[in-house]
Amino acid sequence: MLRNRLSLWLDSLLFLAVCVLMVTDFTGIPIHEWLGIALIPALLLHLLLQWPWIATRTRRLPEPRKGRLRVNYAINLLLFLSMVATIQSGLVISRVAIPSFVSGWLGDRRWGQVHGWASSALLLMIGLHLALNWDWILAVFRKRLRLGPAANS
Amino acid sequence: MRSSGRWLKQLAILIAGIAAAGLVFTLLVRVLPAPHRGSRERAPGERPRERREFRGPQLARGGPAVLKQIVIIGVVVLLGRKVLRIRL
Repeated sequence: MLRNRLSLWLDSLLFLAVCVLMVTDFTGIPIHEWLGIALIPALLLHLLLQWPWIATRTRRLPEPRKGRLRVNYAINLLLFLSMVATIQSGLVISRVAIPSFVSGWLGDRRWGQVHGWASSALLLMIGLHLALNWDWILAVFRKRLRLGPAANS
Repeated sequence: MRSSGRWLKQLAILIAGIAAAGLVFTLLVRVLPAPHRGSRERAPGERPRERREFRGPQLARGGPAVLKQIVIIGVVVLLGRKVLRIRL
């Protein structure tokens, strides 16, 4: 299915990009900033591709005995919030890509601290997000690479 | 609703959500007290510390550092799977 294939490639690229973005020494500031900005449309596309999941799970949230769903939903929501906080604070403290972006209005060293905390939270949330979706990820990879039990399904 | 209209509606909801979250963060950051920047008197003859400058990509140091990030996420995934499987 095209949506699944696109999701798999997009998510793999997003994962790699986030790992690279976490290491500023590796990229230097200009690449770090531009790569972070390039991540915005990719993240929007990721969320749009997962919209059916978001819509159905939001409706099912109040149903009884949905513990796993609630935990998964909460992790995804926290992941979304930490991503917004990381990108927003990154834009505010930008030095190269858009140095004048709202920094006159909001310029504050607190944003640097927010960027650090939010990216740490992001790392944790990505790990938990992957942990909860691990079976799906493995199944899709096996299907794509035609390995193991999911290959025939 | 046509497919393009549905996508536009979803995109609009997403952007509204992002804007709302951004606004809340902005308000929070403005309300929170500024971090205390610790400064101490320099000893006689002590040179001021140089500001750390990023000199651009450093592949030799960066490669292992990216791997370290992947390992950290891997550890969180493993621990997360264990904890969530026990809890759920």
